[in-house]
Amino acid sequence: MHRRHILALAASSLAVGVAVEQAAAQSPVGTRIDPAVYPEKRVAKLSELEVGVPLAFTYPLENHPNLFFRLGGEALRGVGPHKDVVAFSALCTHMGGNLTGRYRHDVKALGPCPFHFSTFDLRKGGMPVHASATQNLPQVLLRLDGDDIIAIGVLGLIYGQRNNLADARPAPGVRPGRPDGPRIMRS
Amino acid sequence: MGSDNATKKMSRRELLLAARTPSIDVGSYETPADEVPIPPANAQVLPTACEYCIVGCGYKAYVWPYNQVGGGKASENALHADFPVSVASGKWVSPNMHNVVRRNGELHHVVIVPDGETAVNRKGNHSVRGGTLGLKPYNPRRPTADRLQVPLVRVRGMLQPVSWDDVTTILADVSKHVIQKHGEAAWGIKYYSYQFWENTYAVTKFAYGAIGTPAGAEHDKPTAVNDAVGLDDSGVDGFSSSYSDWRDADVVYISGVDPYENQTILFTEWMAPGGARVIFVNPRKSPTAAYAERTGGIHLQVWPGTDSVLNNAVARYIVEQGWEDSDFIARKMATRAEIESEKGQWRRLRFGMTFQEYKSFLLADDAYTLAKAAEITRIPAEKIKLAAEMLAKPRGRLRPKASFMLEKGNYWSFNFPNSASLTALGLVCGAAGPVRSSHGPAAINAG
Repeated sequence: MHRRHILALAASSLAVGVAVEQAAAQSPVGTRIDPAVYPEKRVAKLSELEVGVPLAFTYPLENHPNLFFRLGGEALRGVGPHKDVVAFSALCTHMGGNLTGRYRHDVKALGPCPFHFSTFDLRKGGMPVHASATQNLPQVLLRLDGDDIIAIGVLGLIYGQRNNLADARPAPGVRPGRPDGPRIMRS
Repeated sequence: MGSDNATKKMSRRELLLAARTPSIDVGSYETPADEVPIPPANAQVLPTACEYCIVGCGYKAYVWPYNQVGGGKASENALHADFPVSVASGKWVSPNMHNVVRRNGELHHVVIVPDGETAVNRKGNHSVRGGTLGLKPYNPRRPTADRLQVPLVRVRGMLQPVSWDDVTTILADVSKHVIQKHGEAAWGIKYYSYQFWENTYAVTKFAYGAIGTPAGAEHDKPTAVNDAVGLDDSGVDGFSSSYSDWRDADVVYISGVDPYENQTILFTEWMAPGGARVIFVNPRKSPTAAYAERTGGIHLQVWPGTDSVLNNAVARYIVEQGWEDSDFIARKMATRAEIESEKGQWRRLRFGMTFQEYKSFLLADDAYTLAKAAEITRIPAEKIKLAAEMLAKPRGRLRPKASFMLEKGNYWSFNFPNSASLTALGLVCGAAGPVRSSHGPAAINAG
């Protein structure tokens, strides 16, 4: 699940950094966390997720709505005893339409998007199955800690961003990620 | 030159740069990018158009040196966009719009993004094709690696790389020989028809102007002939309708084409927002068929090869009810004397009909009754009747504004009967591309 690529961001204005309150509070010089490493966030309890009932959360930045799904069947990168718990960005990768409320449990798909009908297969990493979108729906990478589900990264660029960790404030409740955790992957 | 591009060694500086940013190798789709470089304010901007389909959406290509990147504020990037860009802004650069190319030997970034200021794909809408134009420029680390870089000539049974100068000389000498010995007609050329203007214009100018051969064949045809024959013979220009016709239509009859898949922007930016009810004629139950049924339209799941029977059955029901656009027919349809005057147009002479002749033709053949047509096309009679009502039943003093679209699912089998019957149905409903009918312009369009 963790990507092996370890990338130095180009010396550029991209390296604006994401100020995570907790990290800043702990640091005497107001350190910003590494903008290339994803923060972590406890987002739900496994026992609270119901099959077929999506649950919303924000991550990694405050402007990033995501949805949890317990699909009731094994899914790519799924966690939990049945490998069926997955989470995805709720923003369509075509033009940013919000897909909240558009889960089709019978086919485990999210969509069609209210804008231009893009639809994504949640069993297959958010692959577009009927789409104007050209990219998978960004998948939130998850780790289990007992009953806690922890978001540890995102696979794919979230709509609207040039970098998943830049240009907006972090979502409430995020903490610095592990140094060996998922990192930003450049195009 | 391509060969130079393929074999050029990286400079020391580029090697260092590439080593520092190994992710320019993005061949794997398993690890999608979550960061994309955006063009700095001084990036070169090249306005362009999508090269894939006939809809012709506007795009902008931004090119800039590899070691630069734009900032997230509108003043710091060539997109004039504050990041994160807002929903439906049309300003987002997806990783699939980005590539790394060589220009004059130096590494450059290129992004190709929809141009929301153009008239077609307004607000930056794009299809799955246009949204991946950025993947097409040659990059030896991506699937474009297998692209032909140099001309090849078969020598002693083996394809050998040769220079452009050599291959041009060979082509010219062989052409001269063939023309001198056998005449222009012995020199032929087969070519595609997309990548409009730049390439097609040059090829046609070359073949029909400079060489003067009749042996040219573009696109899908064995020689230079009509695409949708019935459409052309009826006097309708298949590419002439305005996109606003699709937006303003009350009902659209879509035969053998899926515009969501193949003319995406025409569908998602014009047709669907306009709210037209869709009569979707297609053997397959595609997502567009589901869209039609959910938005007040119908899916006519025609048995392959029976389109002309369906079109004629719909037309017959319309003329039986007297719902034809009489005013338009009186003003615009040919008389017998006009048809007879078509010297040299053998198909128009042989198959052309006045409206009265067409009506008699429809009424004389039992295949076009609702019951018989239902049997042949395997579409329930009620649905054929419903299609006729949607297309032509007057609402008070007004006719529904109906537009018609056909593509290869229609005219690549039984080309003449299918395309002619669809065009005749359209003309009965007053749709004729640029010709103004009694209820305003409506379209017949080849996709």
